[in-house]
Amino acid sequence: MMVEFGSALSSGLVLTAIYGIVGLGFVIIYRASGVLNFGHGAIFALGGYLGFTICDVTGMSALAAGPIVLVLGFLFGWAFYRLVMPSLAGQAHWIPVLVTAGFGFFLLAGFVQLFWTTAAKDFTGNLGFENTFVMLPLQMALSKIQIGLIAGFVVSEIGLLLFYRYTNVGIQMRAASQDHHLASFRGINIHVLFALAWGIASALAMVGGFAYGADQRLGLHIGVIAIKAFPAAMVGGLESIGGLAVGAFLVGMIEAFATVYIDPLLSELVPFAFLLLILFTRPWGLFGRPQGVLRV
Amino acid sequence: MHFSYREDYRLTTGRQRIICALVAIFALVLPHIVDAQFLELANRAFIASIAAIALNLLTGTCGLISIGHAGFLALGGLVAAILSNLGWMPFPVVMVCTIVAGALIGFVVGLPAVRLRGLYLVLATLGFQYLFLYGIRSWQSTLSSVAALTGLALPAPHFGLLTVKSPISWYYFLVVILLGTVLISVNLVRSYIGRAWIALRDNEFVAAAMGINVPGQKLLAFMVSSAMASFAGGLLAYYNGTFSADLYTIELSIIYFVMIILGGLGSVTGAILGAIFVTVIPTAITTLTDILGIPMGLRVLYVAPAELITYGAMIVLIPLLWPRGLMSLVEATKRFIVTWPLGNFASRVR
Repeated sequence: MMVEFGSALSSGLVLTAIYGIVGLGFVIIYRASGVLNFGHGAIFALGGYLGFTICDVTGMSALAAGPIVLVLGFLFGWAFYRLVMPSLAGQAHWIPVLVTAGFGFFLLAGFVQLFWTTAAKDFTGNLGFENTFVMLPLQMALSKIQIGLIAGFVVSEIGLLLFYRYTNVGIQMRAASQDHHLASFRGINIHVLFALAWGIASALAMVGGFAYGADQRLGLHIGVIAIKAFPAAMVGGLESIGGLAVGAFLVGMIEAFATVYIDPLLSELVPFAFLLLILFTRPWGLFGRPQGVLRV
Repeated sequence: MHFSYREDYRLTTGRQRIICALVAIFALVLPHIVDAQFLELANRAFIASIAAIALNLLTGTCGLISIGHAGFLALGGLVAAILSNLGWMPFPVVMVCTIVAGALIGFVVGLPAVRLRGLYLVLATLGFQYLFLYGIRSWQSTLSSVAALTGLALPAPHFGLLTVKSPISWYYFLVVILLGTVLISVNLVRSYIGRAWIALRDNEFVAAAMGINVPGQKLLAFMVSSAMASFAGGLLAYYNGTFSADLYTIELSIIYFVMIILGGLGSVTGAILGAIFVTVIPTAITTLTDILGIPMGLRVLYVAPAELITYGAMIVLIPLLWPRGLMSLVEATKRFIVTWPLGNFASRVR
């Protein structure tokens, strides 16, 4: 019985980390551009494919390829923002959502199918270390990559909190998100800042996808995980980075425990049931502000 | 130009009536001059048009975003599948039930629309979509093992003595239904309700100030759109002959958005043209690979991603380059021809 509890706890922590890393991307992009990036899942998967290919082609270890994927992700997000988003300004508020959704579900999925196959792949290269399971108290078992994911999430979370609060660039980004016009009047280059935001979000997602793919199997289906991260971001409040940690933890843990103790198929349902619950009761999440959300 | 009040309130102008008559004659004659594959495409395009018009009413006319459109198609298919298998329900009653079911669930899904702003509404409809799909998939797994995989089979629709089975009979049946749907939609948009929806879309607060019951109209929009989508879903299930949950994915919802932005938001003809265009794409890609002479082995690798990339490119490029849809290109060409060789100067003179 303790084993079940331990296994639920472990998967809960891993889910927290995954929803957290992807959710951080959602929150950063929503704060900056006011867009729900439905294409984030595809970027998550794409990171995995890029990482695998780099390792296969150059024979590098995964540890060495990680930073490269990070940089590639950053460039990808930057380029996506610069090329696509400015032209969408002034159109209906849902057009960017549709564009990112189409980009992710169709364009990226198509390219992945074209250049790689659709079959799920395991990581066959050199990891740079043994991905063994580490036994922890409370009967938890986490593989080293999973521990890395959790640590990565914690580091990114704290790093971003500090970034937004104490660095000049972070404060400028907050200003730009609150009011584009006033920020531009003050001389802040909002396009550069938003591109930076998209870059950071994509970099996180790509590295997360690479790590996840190396640990489990890689396939386009892992993009669905990103969609399940929306509720995690919403529970905490779509504009709150601190809230995201709480949201990811709640959703991740509840989903893990429901999957282990009640019904494995529930993993699909729990995040969305959560989403609807929070939307009907407290749409701005635990730490968000009501102003942006409700109709008068 | 309208010369009398009567001309003003008629549904169609004189010129439009002539065009409609020509199109009608063409449509009536068409099945006898084309092959079965073309008819199949046409039938699918008609069903897709009905669903596209439904989405257009919700998003183009009323400005509400629902990414759960596939869920309503699935609802219609589910109701049609279950009721038709009962054996004693006549086809028209089954279709009425799909409409009623769509309206009811549309009411439920529309409730968050009253309180939530734009993007949060998208998330709510996303949640509903996944919830529906989960429910339908669970239900499907409780069927017999064969049906659980391939879906529930439906008998062919029949009313009275007529059975709709061959592509030609489906064609005429669907043309009539599409005509009815278009008439209903165009009338709806021209009525008080349609104008209220447009006012809602443009500025909700001013609409409320003018005395429009904003929450009520939003709910009505959801109900009408869902009822129509459910109806289309029922038709689709009958046409396919089976109902299976795998068809109704988020990607399908997004494809319907592609249809309506292709044709231009807010226009019923645009929705139909967009639906036809999008339905034709897979066949167009296959024909293209035929023309380019790509060998069969490679074809399997490239056709599926090519479809995805085409849809993706359309979704990304149309809002970037032609926000008013491809119809705007048609309008631009017309203007160019009419004002040639004066171009921009001519439009300023007017």
